[in-house]
Amino acid sequence: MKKFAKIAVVSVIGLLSGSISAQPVTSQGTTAFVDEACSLAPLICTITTLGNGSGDTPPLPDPKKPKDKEK
Amino acid sequence: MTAVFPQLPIAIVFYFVALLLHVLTVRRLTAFSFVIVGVLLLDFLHVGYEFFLKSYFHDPALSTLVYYGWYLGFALSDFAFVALIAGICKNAHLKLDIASKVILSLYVLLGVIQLFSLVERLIVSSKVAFYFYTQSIPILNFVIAFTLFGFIVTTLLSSLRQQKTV
Repeated sequence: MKKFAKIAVVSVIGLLSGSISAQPVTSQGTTAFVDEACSLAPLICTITTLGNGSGDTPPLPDPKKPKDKEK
Repeated sequence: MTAVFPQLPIAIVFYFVALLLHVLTVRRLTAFSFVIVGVLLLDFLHVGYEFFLKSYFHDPALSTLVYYGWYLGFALSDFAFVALIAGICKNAHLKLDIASKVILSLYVLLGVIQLFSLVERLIVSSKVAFYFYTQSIPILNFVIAFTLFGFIVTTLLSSLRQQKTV
């Protein structure tokens, strides 16, 4: 068990450091603080900022319907 | 958005490694095991849902549906996830550990932020609230992941210490 735990910890650290160099900086729907943090540590953002829309926002609903616009 | 999908396999690998480490360390089913699986499935669902809705972002005919679907979809799935985990743990007589409680509370907070933003943008639509939303969601996601991986490392280290003393 102890041996397995050691192998697992080494594998995770290896995977982390390997992925940091391999992972390009990806564009997120966020600005300022989070963008800066993500450019410093892209891998952390890769595995942690996926849920709940990643901080992106949908456009506000159009008060006029498309049919009204045509008129 | 197209950048999110290439990230998904890496995230899934990490969550699977986390789950494997936890199961092999504690060697039994705990509330935290359900939380790890739940977070993994919820992230998967959220990325797919985000991708689906973003494909309709520029369709004015569906703007109302997309707007409400975005906030309500994320909020309701967060609340449903918390209710499901709490229900499973209650039925299985599993005690919620501190990490599970923190993660579930953060998901409730995420759901509340989604609902708050839904109403706020319709009524006020301030820049402060926009900044708060765009920053708080990724930061809370990070705190959730940090709590999850941190708790696994803590249990792993305490298990190793126990083995040393035996």
